[in-house]
Amino acid sequence: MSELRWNPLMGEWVATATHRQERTFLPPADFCPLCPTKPGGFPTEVPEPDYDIVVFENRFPSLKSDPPAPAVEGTELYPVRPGRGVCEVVLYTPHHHATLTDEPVEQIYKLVRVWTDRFSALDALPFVKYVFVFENKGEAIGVTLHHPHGQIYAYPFVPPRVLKELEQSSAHRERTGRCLVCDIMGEERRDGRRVVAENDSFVSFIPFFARYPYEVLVSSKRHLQALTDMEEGERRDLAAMLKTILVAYDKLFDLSFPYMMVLHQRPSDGGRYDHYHFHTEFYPPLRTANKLKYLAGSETGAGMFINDTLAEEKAAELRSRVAPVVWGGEKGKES
Amino acid sequence: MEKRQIRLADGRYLIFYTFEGELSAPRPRSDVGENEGSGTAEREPEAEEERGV
Repeated sequence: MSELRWNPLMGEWVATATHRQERTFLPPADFCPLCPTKPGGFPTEVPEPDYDIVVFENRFPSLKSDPPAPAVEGTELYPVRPGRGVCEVVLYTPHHHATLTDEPVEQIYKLVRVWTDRFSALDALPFVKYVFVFENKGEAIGVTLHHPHGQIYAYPFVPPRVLKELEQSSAHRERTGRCLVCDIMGEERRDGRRVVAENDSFVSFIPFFARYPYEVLVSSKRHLQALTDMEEGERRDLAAMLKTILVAYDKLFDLSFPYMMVLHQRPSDGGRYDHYHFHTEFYPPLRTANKLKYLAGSETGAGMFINDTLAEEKAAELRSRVAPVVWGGEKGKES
Repeated sequence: MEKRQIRLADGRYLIFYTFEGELSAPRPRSDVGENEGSGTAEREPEAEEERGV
C-alpha cells in the first residue's frame, strides 16, 4: 500500500508505504538481490550473468506509477492521495564488494550519463514534478543492501527541502539580481578556507553553514539547472569531482565512509527555474572514526542543526586527502 | 551508450546500460571466482525485450 498523507502543520506530504516493512534487509552476499544472476544460482533482480549499469523499478517502492487507492479516506484537514510516482534503483557495478569510491572514474562518468538519461526520461512524465537522484551508503545511514547502488525518486510534487532552496534562490535573485548558489560559490572561492577541490567545471567546499562536520557541496561553475544542461566535458568533470570527494572521504579515517549523496536539480513541473543552480550535496554522519552526528531534538524537533566542528578545520582535513583523479590508468585530468 | 529495456515477470521494467568499447571496471580481488564461466542460467527469466523509454 502506498499513499500520500498531508501534514497541515508543516504543509508537506508524508508517504505511507507499509509494504516496505518487509523489504530485504542485509542479506548475505550469496543472496544479494542486486548481483547478477549466476548460472544455476539464486535468481536476483537482474536476470543475466553480468551487467555494466542497470536501472530497475524498486520492488518495494515508496511511490508507484500505478498506485492502489489509499487505505484511508482523506478529509478537508487531512487530504490523502495515491502514492503516485516512480522509484528506481541504480546498480553502479556488478561487483558486490565494491563501493562507488572504489570504481574507476570512467565508471562514475558512465553513471553520470545514466543519471542524465533517467532524469530526461522521468522529467518528461506528466505526473512527475521532481526527479531526485540520491545514494544512501553505509549501515550508519540505514542502508539495507550492501551492493553498491543508488536510487531515483520521481515525486508528484516538489519536495520541501528543494522548495526552500527555490524560495531562497528566487528571493536572492529579486534582491540582488544574482544567482544565490553562484554567490555562495564565489564567496567560498574568495575565502578559500573551506574549498576542498576544484576542476574546470566544478567546485567542492564544506559550506560556511555546514550542518554535518564533513558536509560537502559540489557546485557547477556554470549557471545551469540540471544534468541535461551539461556539456560532455562537464559530465566528465562531475565524475572526476565525485571521485575526488569520495576517495578523500575514505582516506579521512581509513574506512569506507558512510554518506548520503543528493543531486539538487530544477523541478520537472514545467515552471521557469533559471534562478536555480544545480548542485550536489553530501551529508556524512561520522564526526570522528567512531562517533556519529545524530539528528536529535534540536535538529529533528526544531530544525536547527548544531555542528560540533569548524567547517574551516574539517575542510583542511579533507583537502589534505585530495589526490589527482587518474583517467585510463595514466596521469590525466586532475581535480 | 546503449540501453536495452526488458519487463520483469512482475511487470516492472529493467534497463541495461552498456558502453561498447569504453573502459569497464576491473574486477576487485574479492569478486574473483564469482561469476566464473559462461552459459545460460538454468532458470530462464520470464522477460521480454522492449524498446526502451
